[in-house]
Amino acid sequence: MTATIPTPSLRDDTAPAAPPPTRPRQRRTLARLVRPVALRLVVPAVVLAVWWFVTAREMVSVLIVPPPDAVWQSLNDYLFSGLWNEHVAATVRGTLLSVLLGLALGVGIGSLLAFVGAVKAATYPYILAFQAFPKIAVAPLFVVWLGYGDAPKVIIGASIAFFPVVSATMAGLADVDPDEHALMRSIGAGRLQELRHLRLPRAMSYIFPSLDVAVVGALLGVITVEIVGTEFGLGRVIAERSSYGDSPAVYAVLVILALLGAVLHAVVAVTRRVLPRSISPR
Amino acid sequence: MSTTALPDTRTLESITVAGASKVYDVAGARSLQALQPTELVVRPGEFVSLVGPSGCGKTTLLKMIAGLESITVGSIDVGERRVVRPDPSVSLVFQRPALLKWYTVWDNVLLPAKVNRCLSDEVKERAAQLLDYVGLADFRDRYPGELSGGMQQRVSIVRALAAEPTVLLMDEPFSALDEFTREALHDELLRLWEATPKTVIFVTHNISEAVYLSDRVAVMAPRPGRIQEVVDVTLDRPRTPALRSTPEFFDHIKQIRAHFAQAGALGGTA
Repeated sequence: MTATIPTPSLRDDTAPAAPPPTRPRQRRTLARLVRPVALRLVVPAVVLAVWWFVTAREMVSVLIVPPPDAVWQSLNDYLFSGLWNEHVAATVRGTLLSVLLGLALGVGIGSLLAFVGAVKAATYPYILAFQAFPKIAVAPLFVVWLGYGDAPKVIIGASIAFFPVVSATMAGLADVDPDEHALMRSIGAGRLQELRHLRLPRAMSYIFPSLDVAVVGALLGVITVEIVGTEFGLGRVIAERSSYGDSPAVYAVLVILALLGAVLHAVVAVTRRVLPRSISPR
Repeated sequence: MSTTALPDTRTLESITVAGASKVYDVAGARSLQALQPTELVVRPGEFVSLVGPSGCGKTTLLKMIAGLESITVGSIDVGERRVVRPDPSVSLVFQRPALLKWYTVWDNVLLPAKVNRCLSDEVKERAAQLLDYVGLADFRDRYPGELSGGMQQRVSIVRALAAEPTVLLMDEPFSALDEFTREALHDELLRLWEATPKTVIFVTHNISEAVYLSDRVAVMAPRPGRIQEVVDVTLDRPRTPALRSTPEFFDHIKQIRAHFAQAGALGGTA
């Protein structure tokens, strides 16, 4: 098959080796690497500039919008000094546990709903109703029942993280290409083998994107419970500091939460890339 | 490129379609006869094409032979085996390559053997040889998405052949490819078939494709689906691209078109 395999042409071998124009090309590849990063910094730079401008001119009260340097000072005093370590750790732990529990429950229940029609008919309407229900409304109850530890956070966080995973699992397991299905049947694959080679990998390509939504939901649930009441957690810091009128510290927590969300998103993205394609198709 | 014959330990098998028909029950309507009772005997090692317009039952017949579609009346035998379900000795190639995108070319090719728990060094050796044969030896570790349509279809043919089937069933395998790729694959398929003889049934709606490849062409007509006529292709083998512009080649095409015209299956003649 000469059509498919590129054969090196004779000219390439015999032609005098001209010095390749390295410098412009290097500059171009460097520009190609720097450009997207630079473009991504435009929005934070504008936000920071406007923020600084508004506060420097005292256009709003410092209680409402503290100046950037005051927020930086708070980050220095509380975060970098290690004073908030336990709070950050508690929020991260609660969010990760919520995601893991939501993922496990979501995949398990999603598979059950996808494969057992009776279970789906009996329970799916209630799962949908549960999804519509604002779960953070019951956060105070769970705190009363389960105390100031991780348990209420993880239950609320997981209950929010669970739904996107359930619907992704159901959709992924149900999405079977008719030709691929016929292929599996024709080579004598049973239901389990079809699950292993066909349905699970396809479902994974649905579940990974749903994890992005699940992570955000879990963080939301955990922070809410922490605001209601907990021993350690960034939500508690927000509640405490705002009651003291310490706006710079509250803003500092918001900055931490934004970074935390970005990091969790990156963890999901990297996990998806690092896993072999047979587990994480792309 | 290797030109040595690939070892093939299996014996060739015939296909006997004895009065097999297919009726679909349509809820609230008259049941639909997709295929009239059909007789067709394919000799061991023969290459037979089923040609016809949409709705003539050619794919239905192929799926019945594969055991993917139930037989309403009559029977189909592959060798000594009565067809009731899919069997590993019968391989299918679909219109779309149907490669699993999460497996490499190599894992896709070995999938049938893996599923049937007969993955041996012999099968691997054979798969490697076949990939080499179609010029894809360097693409083993690539993913299907990285290959062109023609290359993907080559992989799916290799997958069908790697498990050493005795019968190869092909359902319009080249209809989604451009004309040039298609003609290249015709020659490649014939080369593979001559190196590893199989009983082949090839479904197509392309008359010249059927003539170029086959020993016999079954002309099929719709409403109800049936085999109108079976035409012998008396062109010498091995066949080469030069054949495509010979008068004999056109004579065969004319003859087959005449049968379609008779069946009222050509546009406007009905």
